Amino acid sequence: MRRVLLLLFLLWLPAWAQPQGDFAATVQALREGRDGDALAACQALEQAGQASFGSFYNQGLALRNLGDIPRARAAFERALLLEPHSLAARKRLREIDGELGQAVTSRDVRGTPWWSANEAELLLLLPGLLLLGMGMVARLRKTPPAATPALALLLFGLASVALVALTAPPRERAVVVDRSARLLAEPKPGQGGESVPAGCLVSILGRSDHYIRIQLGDGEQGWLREAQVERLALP
Amino acid sequence: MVAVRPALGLRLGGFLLLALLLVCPAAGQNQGSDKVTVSLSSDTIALDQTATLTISISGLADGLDIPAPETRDGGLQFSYSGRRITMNSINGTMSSSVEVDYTITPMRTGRHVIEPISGAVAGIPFTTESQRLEVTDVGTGTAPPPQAGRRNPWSAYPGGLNPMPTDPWGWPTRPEPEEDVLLEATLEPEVVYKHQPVYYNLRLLTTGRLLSDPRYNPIVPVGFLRVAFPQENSQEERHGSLYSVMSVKTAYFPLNEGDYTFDPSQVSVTSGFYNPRVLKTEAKKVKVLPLPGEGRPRSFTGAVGEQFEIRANLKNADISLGGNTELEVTVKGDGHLELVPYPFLPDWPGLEKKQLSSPSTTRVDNGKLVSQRTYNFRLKPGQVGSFSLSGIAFAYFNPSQERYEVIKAPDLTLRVEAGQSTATEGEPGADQEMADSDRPWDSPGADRGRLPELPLGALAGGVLLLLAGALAVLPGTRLAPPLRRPGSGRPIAARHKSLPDLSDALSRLAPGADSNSRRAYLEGQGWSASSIARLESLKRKAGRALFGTGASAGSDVLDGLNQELGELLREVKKR
Repeated sequence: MRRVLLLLFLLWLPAWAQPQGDFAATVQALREGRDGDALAACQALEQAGQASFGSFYNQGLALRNLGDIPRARAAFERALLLEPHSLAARKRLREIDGELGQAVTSRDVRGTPWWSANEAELLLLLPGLLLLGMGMVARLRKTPPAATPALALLLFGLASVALVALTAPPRERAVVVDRSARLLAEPKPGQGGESVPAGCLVSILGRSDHYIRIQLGDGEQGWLREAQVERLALP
Repeated sequence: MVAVRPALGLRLGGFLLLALLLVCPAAGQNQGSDKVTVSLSSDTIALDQTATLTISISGLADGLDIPAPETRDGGLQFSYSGRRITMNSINGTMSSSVEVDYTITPMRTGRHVIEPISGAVAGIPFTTESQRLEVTDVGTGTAPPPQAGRRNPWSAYPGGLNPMPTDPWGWPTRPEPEEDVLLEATLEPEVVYKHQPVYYNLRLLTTGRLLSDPRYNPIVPVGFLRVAFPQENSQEERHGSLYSVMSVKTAYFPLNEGDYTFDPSQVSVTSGFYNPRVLKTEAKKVKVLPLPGEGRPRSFTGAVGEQFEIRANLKNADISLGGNTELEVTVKGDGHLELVPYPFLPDWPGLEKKQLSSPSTTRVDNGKLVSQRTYNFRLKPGQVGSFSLSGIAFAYFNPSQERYEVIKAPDLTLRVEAGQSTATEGEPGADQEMADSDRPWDSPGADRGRLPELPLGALAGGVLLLLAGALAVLPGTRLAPPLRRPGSGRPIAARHKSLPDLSDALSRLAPGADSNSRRAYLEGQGWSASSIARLESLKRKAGRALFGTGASAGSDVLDGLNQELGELLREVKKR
């Protein structure tokens, strides 16, 4: 019987050895100023598949307090992907932008919009309803007014443009975390050319081996090593 | 009762199972990459010493992609010093590794962080750990340990790193000074103060055409910060011959006082009819004097140069209590500001200050060194009021005048209004309320502090209601009451499929045995005389078509009657 119990205990051990997520630990660690512990707890949550808006937000605070501003920005951006309406996350990002400076943020690509794709689609329903109403009026009158086709065409055009602009999912983005990152012309080993400032928000255009092709806000493109950026992908 | 001892096999099996289960969690853990490691030859050196950063890659992997290391504060200078391949055989098992070395020259004292190096080996990305190097003042650091296992290939030869001149293929050659090609080096001034630049100018003079570009390895004297000038080309006449001159000038900023020797420079050239040669200069010496202590202002932090300017500004001059702002102090001059960690800021009562990043640039502009650095400070007031930020100063030593000079930025004013209050000072045990920017998020979701969701569903419903209302109220869209036979719920259709149906519809439209009674009924419905006349005409036509009095009862007749009925109904509806 004892052997059976021991066997069961040992079988349970691997599960126990897996990283356990404890959100409350991250909060407590941050309140006590133990930023390293808070960061470790947030990373454990992510490994355990329990990442959330709160864990990314607290991870950003811990990284910021530890002085790793680029990774802090990446964490807050990931929090914003989960909750684009969060004012607190946007405030923290503005503070981060201030620390990074204009030289870095002027080369950012577009940030996370505050509306989700579903909300944008619903917003575009309004001109659709307006078009429908105008059609109904014209149908009932049986003599459509002369202005309706032109106005309908204009509204249709605007709705189409807005549909593309507002609902098109943004390209996958990343934050440059390596302070010595330099743009490579080709995905090959080399010392690179122009320096890409750490903390810059870039778009990912493609990938080749361990290189990724990025685009900066000013349109400049080039290759960086994958380890030099942190992708803004949700787990 | 007899105790039965368990079989030995069972016991062994139990232990094996135990061992396996204990290993499993470890095996399940995320194994970090130990293929690439980085190490420092010493974690503490003095300002006049160097250290070596070694990046070790296990295995002879192809596709090494290792960028140069850098520091966060730029306080260390790195220069690539070589690559080694090591192969070992232990008990018949071969193992190999590649080591890439960088020589580290410190530029100032302090604790420096060498950033993690992100690269790839055989396509697999890696990131090394950051390294920390403590740089102490001269004479206080620990000597770096001897490089065990590293053989200096030149150790058998006296005279420094390059004692034996060689041709481009490594074969030793004896330099033969030729008048068609000359190599000269100057180092001036020969006596400088600490942090004052000394200029090393290397000039290659040739009369003929070189078959290939000269190969030149810049010297890297220990204990200097280096800024290279752009190469200049010119011509010079000497001894009746016209020489093409290539000049490479470098400014070296000494980090500490002492006597230094610059190693000879070597340049490999190939001229004439395939005549490869190696030209070599003489070693140069420079004496670095300590900065004078007499007259040194309290605000001096290490700047040396002829001319500097300073300006300061606040990002936000009006803040609330509990908030903070940033003070930017920008200094520009002809000294190397990388050697100046901060300007002088006095202690302002009631104001906490913390130094943030301070990016700097040093470049050559029109043949002159220009250095600019912006020092950023975060200011956090502890009380309400107006703060006068005076006394922001920058002191520097002017070597040509041999005196210290101080420049000051204009005073700034910071106004702090009552806002988010913190715990009052002096209350023992009072909980310090965390600032909004420091307060952790206490729940996994973002249930608070969100922008309100757009009530798009309500908006869409409202628009629909408005449209429906517009249809009911607006003139022109209001539907006329359906034309019905009195007492009957059936409306009158505008088109009929047969003459009997059409005739029946006309009878229902205007009930009555004769025209007088029909007229009276229709006038009561608001019909006009012309409409009534049209209806009577339509009834006669329908009757003739139906009972065939000389007229054809084909489909075209029916269509014509339907059309007339539709026009009559529209006319009546409009009215």
